[in-house]
Amino acid sequence: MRSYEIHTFQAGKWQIDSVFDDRELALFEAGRMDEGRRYAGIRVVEEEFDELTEKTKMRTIFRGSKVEKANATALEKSKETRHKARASHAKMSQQAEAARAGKARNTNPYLLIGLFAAITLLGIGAVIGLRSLYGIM
Amino acid sequence: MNVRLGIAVADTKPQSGTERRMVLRLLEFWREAKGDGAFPTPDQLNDAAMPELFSYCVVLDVSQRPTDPVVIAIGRSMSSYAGANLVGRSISQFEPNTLPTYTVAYVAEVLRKRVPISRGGSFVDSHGTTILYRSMVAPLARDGKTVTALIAAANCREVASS
Repeated sequence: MRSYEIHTFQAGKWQIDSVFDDRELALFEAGRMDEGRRYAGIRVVEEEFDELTEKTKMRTIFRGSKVEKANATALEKSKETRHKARASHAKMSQQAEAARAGKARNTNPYLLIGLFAAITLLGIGAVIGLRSLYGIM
Repeated sequence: MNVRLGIAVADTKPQSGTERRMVLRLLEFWREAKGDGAFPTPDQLNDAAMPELFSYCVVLDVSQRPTDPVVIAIGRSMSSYAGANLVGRSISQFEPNTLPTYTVAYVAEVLRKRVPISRGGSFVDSHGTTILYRSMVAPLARDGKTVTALIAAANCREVASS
């Protein structure tokens, strides 16, 4: 058993407007309502009740032009956001890579060795100095 | 004019710009009358408000016995389909195999869903003629909020026997 519900989007939510047992009549009326300016959104939902399983299947068989437009706009915005996020992520990865490469180039191994040698010599010198000081005393 | 069915052809011809399908005309009236409210009142959808359309209508009171509503008003054409004056009768007292009987067959569903519902189908009348019909039942509320009545409209045509 099938029925066709016309839903209207008003005050921020979908509400049932009317119910038909005739698909063409429901679609005709929904199309007519969609042409008007009264409703922010129109859709037709088909409900099919399976007597064997006692379950109801529902599917939207018509979406008004405003709903379609809003869906298309939302999809475009979502694509744009994803694209921007990907581009931003790629840019950040590139910058991080460049920073790592720069650090590697700027590091001079000889400088490090020289620094280590100087610290070592200072340390040895300090030890010799302290020993001679204790020797005098 | 089809005397037996009480249909005046001129009555079914719409005014220019008016929706041809009668049930959709009633639905449009219903929506206009209720505006931003939940339901229109019975006074907004009576003989005076829509004289041409009301001829095919019957109004039922559901405030006392919602499971077996009583007729409180009926249009001329709908009355002729019934073959009797139905005012004051409950729907369980309608003659079987008449248009009014099929028109009000799903009032329980309308009371449950609280929105206009349209059903169509066919039946064989007492003369053995197959009748195709299309009906609509819509809720009304005296206070605009609590459903106290239903308005039902229907039109039909005979299927020519081969």
